[in-house]
Amino acid sequence: MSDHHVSFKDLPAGGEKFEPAKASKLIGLFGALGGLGILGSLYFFLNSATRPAFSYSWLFAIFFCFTFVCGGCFWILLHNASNSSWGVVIRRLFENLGVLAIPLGLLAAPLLFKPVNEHLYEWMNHHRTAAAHAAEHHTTVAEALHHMSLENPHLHPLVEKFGYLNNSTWFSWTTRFVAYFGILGFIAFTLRNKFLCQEKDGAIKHTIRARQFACITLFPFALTVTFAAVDWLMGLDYLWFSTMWGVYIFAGCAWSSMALMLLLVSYLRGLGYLQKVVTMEHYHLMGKLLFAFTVFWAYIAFSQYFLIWYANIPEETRFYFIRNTEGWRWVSIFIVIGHFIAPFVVLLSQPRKKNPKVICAIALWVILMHLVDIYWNVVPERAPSLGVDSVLVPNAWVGDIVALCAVAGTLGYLYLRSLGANSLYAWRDPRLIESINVKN
Amino acid sequence: MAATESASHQDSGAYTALDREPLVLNNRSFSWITNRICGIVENKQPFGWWVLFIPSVILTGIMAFCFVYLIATGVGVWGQKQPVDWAWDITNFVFWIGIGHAGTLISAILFLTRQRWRTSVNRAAEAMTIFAVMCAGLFPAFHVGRVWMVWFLAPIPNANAIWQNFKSPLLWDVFAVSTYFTVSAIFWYLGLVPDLATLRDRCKPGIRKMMYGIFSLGWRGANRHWSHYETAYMLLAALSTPLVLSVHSVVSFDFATSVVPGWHATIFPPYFVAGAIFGGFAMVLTLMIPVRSIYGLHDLITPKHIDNMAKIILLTGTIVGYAYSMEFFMAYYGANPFELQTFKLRGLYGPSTWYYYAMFGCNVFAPQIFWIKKMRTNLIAVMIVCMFVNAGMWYERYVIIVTTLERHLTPGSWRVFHATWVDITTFIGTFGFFMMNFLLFLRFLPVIAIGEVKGVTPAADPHAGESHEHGVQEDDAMGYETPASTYPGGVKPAATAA
Amino acid sequence: MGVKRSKLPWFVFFGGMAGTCTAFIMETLTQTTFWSDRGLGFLEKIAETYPTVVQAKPTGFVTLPAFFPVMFELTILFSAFTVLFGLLAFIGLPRWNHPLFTSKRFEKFSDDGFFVSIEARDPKFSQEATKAFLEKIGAKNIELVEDDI
Repeated sequence: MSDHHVSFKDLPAGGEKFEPAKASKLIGLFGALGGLGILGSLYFFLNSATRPAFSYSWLFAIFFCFTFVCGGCFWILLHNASNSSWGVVIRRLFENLGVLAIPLGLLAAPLLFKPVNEHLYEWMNHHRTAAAHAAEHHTTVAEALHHMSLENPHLHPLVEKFGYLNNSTWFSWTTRFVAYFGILGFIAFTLRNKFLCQEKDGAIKHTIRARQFACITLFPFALTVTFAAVDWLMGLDYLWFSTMWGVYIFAGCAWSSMALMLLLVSYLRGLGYLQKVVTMEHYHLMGKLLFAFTVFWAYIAFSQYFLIWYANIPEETRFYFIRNTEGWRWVSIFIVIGHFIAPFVVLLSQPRKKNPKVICAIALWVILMHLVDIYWNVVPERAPSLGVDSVLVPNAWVGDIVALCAVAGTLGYLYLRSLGANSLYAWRDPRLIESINVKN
Repeated sequence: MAATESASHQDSGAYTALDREPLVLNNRSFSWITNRICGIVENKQPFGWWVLFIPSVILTGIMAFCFVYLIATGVGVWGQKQPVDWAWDITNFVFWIGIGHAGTLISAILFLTRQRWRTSVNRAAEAMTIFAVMCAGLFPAFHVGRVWMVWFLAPIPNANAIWQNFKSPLLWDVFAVSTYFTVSAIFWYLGLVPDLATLRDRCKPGIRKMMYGIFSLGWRGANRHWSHYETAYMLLAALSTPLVLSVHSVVSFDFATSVVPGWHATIFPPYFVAGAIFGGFAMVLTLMIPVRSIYGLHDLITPKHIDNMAKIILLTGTIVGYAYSMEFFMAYYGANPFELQTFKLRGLYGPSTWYYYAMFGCNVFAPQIFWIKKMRTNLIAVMIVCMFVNAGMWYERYVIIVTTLERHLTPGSWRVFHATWVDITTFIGTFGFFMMNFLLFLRFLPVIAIGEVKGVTPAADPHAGESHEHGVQEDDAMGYETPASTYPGGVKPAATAA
Repeated sequence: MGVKRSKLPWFVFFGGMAGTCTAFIMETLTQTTFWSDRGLGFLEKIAETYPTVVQAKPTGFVTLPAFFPVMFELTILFSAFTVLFGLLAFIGLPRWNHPLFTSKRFEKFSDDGFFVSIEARDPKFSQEATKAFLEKIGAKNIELVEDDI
């Protein structure tokens, strides 16, 4: 570690521009995976025999990528709102991650259509029946649902939560679906634009404006993550609920996107970029944040499990009941060890956090465990919901991989391509020099 | 000098740094800091100190009287009757223990996140933590009824070889609170050692010098000492951080592990922690703003510090608002009729809706005024909001504990709680006890961490003067005009065509 | 100045583990049949414990989650004590007196001064040569501090 103070003179004017040609191998790989994945997905979607199981695969893949987009937005919001400096050199990479909200929204669109979501969300089917009744008897959907619940008391909760869980008012599942991507995209685009303007005119006011904007949008962001998690995952079983759910999903978002950033920064440095601006101190800081969110996730996940386990109320325990049955039990135990204990122990040591090779291996592991976590949240619902007489739907894992390749491959391709459009870091940010010379 | 400056401007013309605000104003020297802080302990206390101290002692006496009266008569002197078995006592317990959390947050979490501004307030905040936990501990101890049996709480088998129930949240509380008190005390004391040595070295020989000498453990600031000391301090910070999360989480388990509607919510642990930090910061400000003006510490506790703490209050207040809303939303979304009814009784038509509105108003709405920068630096506004928050956090615990029990699952035994004079005077008495301890702390110990605050002065920065970037102060940043020479081609673009 | 990183964290790690184990043993021994299920029933006899079903939580090992809070707290408590006593052991404190305390100028170290002390047990120490060396590099106040004992 040299004590040399890097000043503006030492940096290339105009920042560093990423040339996609240098990364053509990785871009090509992502492009190929994405293209083949989309072709495969089309097959699975269009084939009515595979569509039910594949709907879950698609939701899993979309939600997995969604957590990274949320994480990207979170880190830029936090960075700006807390007036911090260390992350200036990597903030642009997070900004570009958040901007992916729009292509992700397009990829997520299949979930809006009946042939897909009828397999995912049981409540929608009841609502559709109610809507048919309503059309027949010239009443409202809510009233029709109420009539249905008189015959089938299981539907009573759906009447109770009609104001939120519906597809027939202005505040519907579909409206919110669009809004989530819109909000995330708006946040990321606005913040990135402010700093792009700054690169043109050098005015500091953009930094101040970005801070104000971030403070104001933190709360809407929190609501976005929470309700997206409620709508897409909690809604898989309309009886289940947990107040902690949004926080739990958020913890995973922040954790996994920080790991992705570690990998990305290392990859770019390997190509010769960011050599001067990103130091081992930044690795250490990112490692510490990764560690902090390892613990935070464990805290949230444990509290949620623990309170439901202790109180033992049937409508709540069903979530863990499914995930403690047969093979899923081992996945649950694996998550405890792999998602918390292993990264916790490994990240305790400071030298390991400062060693790019080691921290990259950990980051890769973190992303893998996050994948397992999201899988464990989405997929155990599949077999019971589709009426399969086993905890797993046979051969459905092929679809899971195809969907993941399609969504993650496409987004990865778009992400790497988009990096070339601007400098890799905000080269005229007034905190840039402070960030480069950070010591901790 | 001027020549080199202008040259460096040209070199880095395209770049303007945004300077950090100084944490110690007026470029105070090391010895000024030592003199000012040690002076508080060495000089006679100002009039204001006595004005606060004497009533505090009297209130402590009243509190002691109340507890003696309770022991002599029975817990019935408090207002609780079936079904409200937990009332002011548990409310006060949670309230006080929550106050303590800000101290640990400032000393540990802000230390780990390298928030250098913490140095001016961490010592006082840690002291506050310890005294608040002492106040908190009193209530469950007397709540057990026969206070001489309180040793039953310790993990020792009683005469029938019956052990404590380790599966009970109440026992976890015992472990959590006692660990919290011990670790906070260790952390506080270790931080004090170098400063006690400073006081020792300034004292004339005598009893004071001896006491400071004993408690500073013979500290002589050797390089090897500092190396181990800093590691130890970092370790304690790293231990305290999960500890502080766990303590209020365990307190929340007292409620959340039950199946009582309104208590069983999975979000309780982080929600309690956020609330505790929120309330604690309000108390830190409540204490530090007067201390700052009584002892003239304006250069060490600057408007920047107050501004930062106000922002944290705004943030945590909003998080608490998120938790309130989430609870309400899930009560609705969960479609459990009992849960929903509980919330309707709390907020719409129960006997104590007043408390719910007070809670929401004080905790969620009052801090929103901190969106305005002028309000964050206006001491009177800050004090008023802090008072709202102090009260609001008490109401929050009251709402959770008492209003839930008032309307529990069996309507036949519903009863509205009424506090007795003993409830009220005991609670007010604990404020006296808390203030008395805090004032004694001001009298005998350095209120600001002398050694640490020296580290954030400009003089302590080894890179001071090394940075040649042209910097702008925060206040001028909005109107800052970029020099024309920095534009491509040296020409400022015409005002953007709107 | 060539001071190595402190070894304290290692001690604290094991101190913390000791806390976890203490809590685990205390809890499982008094509340569960964990040890007797593994053929170690004599431990229950020695400690005279009678595991019972409380709060519908059985006496088996599945009750483990309920034991985590205490395990966690004791881990932290033991670690913190290890930090405190470990630190004192490493730096050789407390001690009531030290020869340096007799020096007139010493007390400024805790205000705004630096104090360089070269100990006689240093192998390169020599009363004259060290003094001469310090003078050569510009020292003004050189003082010989002697240990009374």
